[in-house]
Amino acid sequence: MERKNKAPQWPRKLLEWYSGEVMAEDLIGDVEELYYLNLQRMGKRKARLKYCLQSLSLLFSHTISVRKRNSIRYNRATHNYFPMYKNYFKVAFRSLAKQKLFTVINIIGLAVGMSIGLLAVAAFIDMNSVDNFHTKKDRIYRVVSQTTQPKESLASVPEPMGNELATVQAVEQVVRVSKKLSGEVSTAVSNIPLYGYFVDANFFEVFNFSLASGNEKTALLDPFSIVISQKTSEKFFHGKDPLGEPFEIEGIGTFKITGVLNKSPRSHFLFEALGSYSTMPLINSSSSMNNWQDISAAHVYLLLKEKAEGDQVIESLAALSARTFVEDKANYATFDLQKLSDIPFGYEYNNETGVVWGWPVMVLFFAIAFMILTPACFNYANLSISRSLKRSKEIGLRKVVGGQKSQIITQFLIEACLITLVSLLGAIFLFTLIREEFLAMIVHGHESFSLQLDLVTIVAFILFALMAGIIAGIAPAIYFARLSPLETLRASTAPSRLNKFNLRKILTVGQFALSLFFIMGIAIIMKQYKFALNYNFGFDKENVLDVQLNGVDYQKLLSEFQKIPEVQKMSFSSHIAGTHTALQTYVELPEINDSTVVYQMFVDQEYIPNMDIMLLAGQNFPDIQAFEESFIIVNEKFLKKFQIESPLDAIDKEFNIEGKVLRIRGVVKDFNFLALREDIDAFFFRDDPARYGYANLRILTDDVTRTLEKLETSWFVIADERRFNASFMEDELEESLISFQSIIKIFGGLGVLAIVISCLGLLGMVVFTVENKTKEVGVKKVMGASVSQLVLSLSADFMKLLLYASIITVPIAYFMFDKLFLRIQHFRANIGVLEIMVSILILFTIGVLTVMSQTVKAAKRNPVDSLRSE
Amino acid sequence: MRGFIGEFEELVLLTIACLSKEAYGVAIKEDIEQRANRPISIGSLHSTITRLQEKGFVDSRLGEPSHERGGRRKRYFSLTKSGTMALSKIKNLRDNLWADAKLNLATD
Repeated sequence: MERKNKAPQWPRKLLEWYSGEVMAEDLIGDVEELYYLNLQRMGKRKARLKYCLQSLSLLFSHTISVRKRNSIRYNRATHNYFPMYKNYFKVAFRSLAKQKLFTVINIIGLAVGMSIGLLAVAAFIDMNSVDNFHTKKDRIYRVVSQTTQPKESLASVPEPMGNELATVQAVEQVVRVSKKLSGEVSTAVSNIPLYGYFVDANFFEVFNFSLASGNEKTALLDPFSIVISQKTSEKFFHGKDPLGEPFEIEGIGTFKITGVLNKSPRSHFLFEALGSYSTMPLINSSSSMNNWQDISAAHVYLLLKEKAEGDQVIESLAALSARTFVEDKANYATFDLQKLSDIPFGYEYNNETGVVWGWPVMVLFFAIAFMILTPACFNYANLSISRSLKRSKEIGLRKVVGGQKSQIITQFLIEACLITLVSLLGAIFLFTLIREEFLAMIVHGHESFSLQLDLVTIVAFILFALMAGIIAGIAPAIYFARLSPLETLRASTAPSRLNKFNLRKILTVGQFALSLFFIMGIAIIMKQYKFALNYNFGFDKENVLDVQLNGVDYQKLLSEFQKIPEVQKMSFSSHIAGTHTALQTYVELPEINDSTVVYQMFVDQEYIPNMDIMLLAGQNFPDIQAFEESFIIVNEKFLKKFQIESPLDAIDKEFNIEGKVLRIRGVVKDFNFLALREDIDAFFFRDDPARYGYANLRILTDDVTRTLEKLETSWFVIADERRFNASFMEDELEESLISFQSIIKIFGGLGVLAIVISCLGLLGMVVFTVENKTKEVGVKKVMGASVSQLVLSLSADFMKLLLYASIITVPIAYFMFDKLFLRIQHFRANIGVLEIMVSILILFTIGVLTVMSQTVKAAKRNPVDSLRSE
Repeated sequence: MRGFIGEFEELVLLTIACLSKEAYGVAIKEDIEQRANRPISIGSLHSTITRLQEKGFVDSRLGEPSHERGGRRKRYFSLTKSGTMALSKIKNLRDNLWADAKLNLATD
């Protein structure tokens, strides 16, 4: 048959693949014969067409399906399960025991790789069991809102919603929850912040929280009654029974303790105390209690009657929305029901009741876990395939005596799973080490996750280990299943499948790329951190001590503190600039009958000179205290927003703010009143002594401690029992960078893990290569090569791999981190050459050390030994 | 109808009988196509033969590998005893019908 007239290959291959082990050769032979006949009769094109059509008709024919059906029945009968598995286990044990070094490398690598995965699995199990302990949980729903302007979903609803829904037929109970129960509680020694909820009295009926002391039915009936957690009871009453005792929360009032809460299992509710909802009308104005415009007011939970459907409630909610709001108006809102069990995973709701992680966090967690696990699995696959020479004779023999491909695959999967189960022990050990760190690092870590080793978790861990075993073992399993027994039994040279060799190189490069990624991440983030620390915010933040006013009369404080010589300048402000605190207000735009949001800060006339903020035009606030607020001092961005040409034009322009008419008195240069994360927006200063929150003292002193003592003494002269709360502005600004520190820790941890796994993999490959080249090294040495020459020749290949890894990672990491910081931090440092160089240097050092440890040993070996062994 | 076979099946059985020792896939297909002057799909042919095998009318054996088919073996088919009986049954049925119909089939 001439080459050019040969039939197309794909139909035949398709038929062969589809029929599998079933005979199809007679059928394929038929179509081929027909093809050659047709070639003569009707020419090449038509013959090819007919060939394809005929092959397809055979593919779907009754013949093939009957043959396959028969063969399945036949094949199944030949599987003896139990004895074969015994054999697999025996062989697996022996092969692992024979190659101790590789086994240890694999076990350590997989243990490290699985540890983060275990953390993710445990966290996932925890998230699933949130709020599981409520007996009525299937009937409990939360009402959520959706607004159109701005478009957002809220976990809260307007306050009057609770009363409205009580009348709906399907609803058995309504529980209102308000986050407004928060403030500071003072003891003899200090002020301690407290957070909790106001809840309706039926809270304990609907949810399974219980009281250690006190009556659940009556505890929250009366206004100003409160139940506290056992921890809070310890903090304030030191073991004494607190029932009936008064409990004052600053800003709200004095409560009476009517119960102590039992420690409860994990819930999305986050509270140290529960107050009675009947307190709310007494501390809030009636207008705010009946306000349908405030969608963030309260959280409403419903207990539906047994067998009731949620649809009825949804209908009522739709009707309610229609008659309360006008569509397309600014505050239009619709409502919906959310099941209690869906709360932990729902991430899109703002103003959450308590702690909600949402499923994107979980997905991210698992993604990171897989990023660490995969290199370890690759290592295992890499090493297994490298050692294939030693196993191939065994595999060849198995196949010759009738082993099926599926059996070979099963054997290797069992071997891999065996290793992962052993590594699981190591991984659990690592898990217990890191869980404490992890819980401490995330906000409310201990409340949301327990990460305990209970039965469910251990079973999940075992399943995870098995899955890791399959991932690790599938590649070598398929590789071995495809080995041709003829090749392996005949030749004794290493398999010459070069494409597999390249695959291993790619895997190694990938691992080091990942490690370099983490190292670069750390370097870059550290640079950002230093940058943020040293950034010029536009005001002078050095040596400024911010003292919280805490309700003290500012004029008294002014006269007291000014007596202290170390206090050079003093001013007042509503909050501390440069942190994440932001005050905003609405400025009316009469032309379009709407208003726009502008940032603001209340300061006195000393603030701008004290903080050294640059005034571009106009004047500062006047010295004399006006009875009414009349001025604002705006920044440049404000001018842009309101389309005012130059700072000079702005002076004396008037604006409607909160019902008052205020005039621009001056214009300051843009400065960072918010943390560097945000861009500078439209902003103005206002002067209203009622809003002063902090005193800003510029201190000049050699002895900070003495000065602080002096200040504290002066404080208590006028402040009675109130707490003296002072911190340096620089420290406050540094604290707002705390998220950086957490990220550095996480990246550091992950980086170490990734590097460990990569080095183990590299070590394995180096050992293997060196083993194979012992004779070559011996001969070279006899011929006169020096130790350094040998080391170089053995190491060169691996150095190249490190180089490839660097070339790949640097642009990717640069791009990713740049984009990442673009979204998070508006004012940021550029990623510089220094960071990149240092990272690459670290990577190379580690890689070189790993490689050299083996190559130097090999180069120094006595050639007599290496040439003698056979 | 148990024991009765369709038109195509009858054709295939008869062709197998005609070709005796040389009855394999391609040969059967070519023969039928030539005689009946209509194209046959190899897939449906083999499906029919498989059904006849399931009914027990046809037997098969594998032959020697042949060079023209790239070393692949041919599968030869032959009639079984029940296959022959089925053929004669249907022939009898038809003969009776023809006789009673008294049709004049002269073609001039």
